[in-house]
Amino acid sequence: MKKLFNFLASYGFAVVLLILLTILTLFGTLEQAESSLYDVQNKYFNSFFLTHDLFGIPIPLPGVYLLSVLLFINLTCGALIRVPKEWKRPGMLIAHFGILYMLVAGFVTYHFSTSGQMTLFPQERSNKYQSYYEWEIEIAELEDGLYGRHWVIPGEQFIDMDVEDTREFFHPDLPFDLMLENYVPNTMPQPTPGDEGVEGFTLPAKPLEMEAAQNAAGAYAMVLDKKNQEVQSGLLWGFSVAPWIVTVEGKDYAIELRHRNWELPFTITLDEFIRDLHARTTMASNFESVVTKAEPGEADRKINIRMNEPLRHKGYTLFQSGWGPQNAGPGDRLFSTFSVVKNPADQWPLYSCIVIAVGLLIHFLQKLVSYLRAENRRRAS
Amino acid sequence: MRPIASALLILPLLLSACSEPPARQEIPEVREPGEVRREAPPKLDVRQRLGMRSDSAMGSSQGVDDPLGGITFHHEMPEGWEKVPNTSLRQVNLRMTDTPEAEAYFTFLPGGGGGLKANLNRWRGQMGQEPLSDEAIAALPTRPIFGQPATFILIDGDFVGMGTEPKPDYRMYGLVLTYSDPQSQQDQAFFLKMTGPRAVLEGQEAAFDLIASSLHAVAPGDEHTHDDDHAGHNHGAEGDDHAGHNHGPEGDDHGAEGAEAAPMTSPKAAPAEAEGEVGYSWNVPEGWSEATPSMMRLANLTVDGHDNVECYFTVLGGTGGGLEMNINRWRQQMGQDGLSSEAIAALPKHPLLGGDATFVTIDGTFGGMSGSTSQENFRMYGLVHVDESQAFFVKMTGPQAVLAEQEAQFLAFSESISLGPVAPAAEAPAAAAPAPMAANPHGVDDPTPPGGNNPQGLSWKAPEGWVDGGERLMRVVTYEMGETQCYITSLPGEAGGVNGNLNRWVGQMGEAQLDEAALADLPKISVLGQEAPLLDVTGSFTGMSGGTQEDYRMLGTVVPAGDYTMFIKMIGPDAEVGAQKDNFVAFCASITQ
Repeated sequence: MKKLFNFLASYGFAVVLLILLTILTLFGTLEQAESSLYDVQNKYFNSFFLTHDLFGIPIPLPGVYLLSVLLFINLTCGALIRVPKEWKRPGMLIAHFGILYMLVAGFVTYHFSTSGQMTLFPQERSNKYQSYYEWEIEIAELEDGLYGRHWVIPGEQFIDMDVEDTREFFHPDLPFDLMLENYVPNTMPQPTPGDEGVEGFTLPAKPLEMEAAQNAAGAYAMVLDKKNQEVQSGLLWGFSVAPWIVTVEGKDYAIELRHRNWELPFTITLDEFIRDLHARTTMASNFESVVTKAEPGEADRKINIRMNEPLRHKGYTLFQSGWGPQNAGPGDRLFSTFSVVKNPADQWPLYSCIVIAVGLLIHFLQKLVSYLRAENRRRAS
Repeated sequence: MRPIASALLILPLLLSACSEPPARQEIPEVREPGEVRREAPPKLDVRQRLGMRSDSAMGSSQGVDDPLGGITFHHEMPEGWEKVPNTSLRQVNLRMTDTPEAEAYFTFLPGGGGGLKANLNRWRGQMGQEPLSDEAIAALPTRPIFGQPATFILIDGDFVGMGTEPKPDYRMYGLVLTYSDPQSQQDQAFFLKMTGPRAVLEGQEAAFDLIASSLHAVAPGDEHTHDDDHAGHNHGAEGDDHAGHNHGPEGDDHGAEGAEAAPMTSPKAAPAEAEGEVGYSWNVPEGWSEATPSMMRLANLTVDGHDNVECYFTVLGGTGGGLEMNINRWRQQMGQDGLSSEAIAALPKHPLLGGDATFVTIDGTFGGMSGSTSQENFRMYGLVHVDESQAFFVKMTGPQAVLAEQEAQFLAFSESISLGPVAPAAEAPAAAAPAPMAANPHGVDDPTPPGGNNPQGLSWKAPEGWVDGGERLMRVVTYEMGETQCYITSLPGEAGGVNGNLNRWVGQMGEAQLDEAALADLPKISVLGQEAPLLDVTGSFTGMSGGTQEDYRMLGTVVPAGDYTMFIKMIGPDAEVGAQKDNFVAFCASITQ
């Protein structure tokens, strides 16, 4: 046990981890020439293990997620537990604590944050934001011409499917099971003659896009009535303009493959979008949105969201991220797009940097004082 | 120390390898509707859901929808470019396959979109360039689009899109055509734009010109004075000129005006799209001849000895613009004022495809769609029938004296049009999706009940060693043997025909298409009591998922069986399929209905 602790707390282990982290940062950066940022993040930084292709030779490597966990253990064992407790070097202790804090921030961000976008035209309102990359399948009950209860299958439950896989989803309250087949992460439906495809279309796989938000996932879907075993088959595609609607036991259900949606605990109404242009160009010199935030039990509040001045509320941050449509001419109605981020560890990297800076400052001051004392002693002697 | 390190690194790998996701999973999230409930979406067919109301994958032209009202735009696809989904402002949207940041798109704006100068200077602004004066704009070269001279501009600079960082060393090719529609008196603007890194676009000017010169609007009415010259005209198979012609579906759902056509009328004037998925048949009256059908004209007839007389039959999806709009448009073409709703309602009726079509006779000066040549003392007979999902038009134009003699033939021709068998066509659109199916787990030797994936109630005997592959969409049954699969599919109707499907399969194997003789020479096997051709082809298999498998072999047969067509196919590695060939033949022979 002691051997294990000594290994985990060793400088040698820390050095190996830091070298590996440097290599992965380099490889991950180079890989962005070939793949999208999102894919690179998933492959190199959110993974336990990966295989890097170096001039055609596959090199197995630990992922940054695993290395970060090991680094956390190494720092905890080495810097906080094993170091002498008599506060001889409090600065280093504080700096190491700051690094641990930053690793925890990364962990919390990875596991508990969500990010997406909300697009509004003036006078529109919404309490939802939509992921750029993640998918979900929504099954919604339709009643009296309105959406009713809905069941959501998060992307984690189907994006790992291979094209040959089939997977079935069920819920006790649903009168049918949903079976997926031929899931492809990026596709463009093609009409097909003859005996293949569903609803007259196939979903041929396309290479992933450099910009991951442009990938359009698709799958064949089969609805199996639990009572009479009747089957309806249809096509789900991420860029569909409307959901697939099936009728089971006399009730309509809308089934849709779409980018993941999350709800905000408040509603945003875009009152006005302001865009100033540089003279005689279409380059925006400033763009900002005047919004009203409404939530139950609180008075409505008017807020300006502009570059570097996001709206932060209840753990959510709304940044002004874009506008459109493209090629809008003078006088055209413009929409405003907000990046919405929910991250409990939003400010933790800032705090951890402050802690590290304080630690290093104390440490260097301590060093300076001991140096000056030593100098004085030398001069005195 | 080293074993500890190894254990630390390997443990998570082992843990992750143990967690194979289950094939049946519970849906974890249930959300109750909020206070503000969304309106239920409309129930749309698959093409509408996919934003592809037109058939965009036929032939070389790429059809897209016009969100402004049904007009579609087609063009030739330059090499190295591909289509991406349209947006509300991009009725054609392309990008380079290798350089996705290089894009080309076409925008049609009713209302003029701000005019020539404002748009050219806006583009120059996007490229960080100073605006041009009126004189400088007037001196810009022109290039054709829709057969009209459009202002061409080439701008190099740092490109700034909407709210994005400047992209250095970019190039933009642009064409702007502004046009005032004489019918609607409305300004229209057409923009074709290509942007991308300058180094890439320097070699793409020809691609830009190809798109521009081939771009043409799909006429959204039954009026097409300019026949399209694209592939896809599947004329009837029979050679008889005078009776019972069967016309297969058009290769492309949409008619299209030739590149020389004038710009479209406003979308409001003709909001419709064409469909031709159903075959029709008709009798050709005595003294009439058939001309080549066009994209829009399923039947195209002339009267012998009178070149200036034409009669044609058109089917459009949707309402085709509706009864009143079409009749008044026709009257306008004949130089007549429009009729009131009451007057149109009072017009006589005549049977057309089982419905009461409105019959109209209009005398006047015929301007046609292009309006280029006026024909005095002309007459038009028209029949319009609009049902829930389609609009049918029969129309005849010619000199009054000639048409007065031909009225009875016109009405007889119209009455003879009926839904007929579809001629086999390799590129025929897919058969409609079958009605909801019943899942039917089946034993190997047990006859399976009719309905579901097996509406014909087929039964069969599976050879030894074949493993049931479970329920698959659209398949009657699937068996697996190693990597090899064998499955039966059945579709209503001819579903593309025997030869069309065999050649499609040959294409999936990367092999050259078989001609009629080669198809006729294929060995025969016994299926459902008839002789069916056995396709046996080896090559690189590219399935519907797009992946390619080398050294594959396919055995397949297509069997027309009355009102449905059965497909039996085995696909897998060459050696495996070779070993199963006898079993495949025995399996086919064992199928009974």
